[in-house]
Amino acid sequence: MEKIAKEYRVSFLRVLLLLSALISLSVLSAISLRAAVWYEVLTAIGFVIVFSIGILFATLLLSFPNGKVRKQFGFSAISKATTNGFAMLFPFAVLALITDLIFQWNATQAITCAAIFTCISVAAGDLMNLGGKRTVNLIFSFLASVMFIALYMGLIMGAKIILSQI
Amino acid sequence: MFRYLFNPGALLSEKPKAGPLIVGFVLSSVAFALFYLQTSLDKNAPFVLSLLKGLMFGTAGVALAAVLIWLVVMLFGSKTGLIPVMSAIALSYTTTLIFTLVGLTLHFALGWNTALSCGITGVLAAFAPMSGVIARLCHGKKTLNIMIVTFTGVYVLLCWGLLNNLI
Repeated sequence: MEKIAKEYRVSFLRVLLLLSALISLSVLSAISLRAAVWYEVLTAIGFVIVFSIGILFATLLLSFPNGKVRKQFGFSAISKATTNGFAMLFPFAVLALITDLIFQWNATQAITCAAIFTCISVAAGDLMNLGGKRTVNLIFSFLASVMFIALYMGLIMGAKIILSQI
Repeated sequence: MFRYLFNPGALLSEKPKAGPLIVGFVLSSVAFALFYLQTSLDKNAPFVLSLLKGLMFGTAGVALAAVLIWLVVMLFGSKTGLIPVMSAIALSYTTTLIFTLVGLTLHFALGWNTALSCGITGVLAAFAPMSGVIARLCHGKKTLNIMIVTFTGVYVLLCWGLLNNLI
């Protein structure tokens, strides 16, 4: 089990991948609003904040069904699993860039929702490997995904409503 | 067999068998054939050629991706054989098949264009099982896992764009 825990340490490169993906998805989400530059910059900052809150929220929610993992490896094991899970945002960010730049499609929102769902599933999978219960982790990861996606879509809706009134 | 459909990584710890390999490639070829069919239906283009291209990509294209993944993980110390890797990668596209079936049903029932909403999302949904497969092959090298998943996603998307004249 200690050997498995070692495999779940967080590297600098992975944090860099997570941050670059988070920023590029935020920028693409903001650009998809097709507004003035100042408004897109503000919204992109809003998306970065929403993503950070979402990751923190997912970490807290996943810590509930994994009391055994928390006791054995500490809370850091949960946060490392979610950080590693969210590093999986990177392939989605690359695909979002390709669809936006090469195919000229506005698919960032759909890709981001799929990305959030996959990243939380990967984090929950890592926690199961560390000894977390399968069914409870599946339920909590689903709940965390739905709430995170609702938060993301809420910001998009809010930004669109404010934009229509400017 | 059923348990491999949603957890193809489990195949890697067992002896190589012909069954999962055949089922995997049948599933991936049907998944991509339906995805390419959706694209041609959305574009109002002739669909027979698209269907054949999808079948070709689902077998030869996925096999090529699996061989490339196998070569890369071999360089990083994996000792897993080619057959289990090919079977597991092909079986990762079971989720894509589910999404494309839903997409086609929605297209014929409600007339919606679903290549993007169900087809691309189906390809993205295959990332989770594929990440599980590659994680087992990489023995904890998570950054390598992310890079391989990124490569596979880009490869599938660009091939789809090129084969369907979307680029």
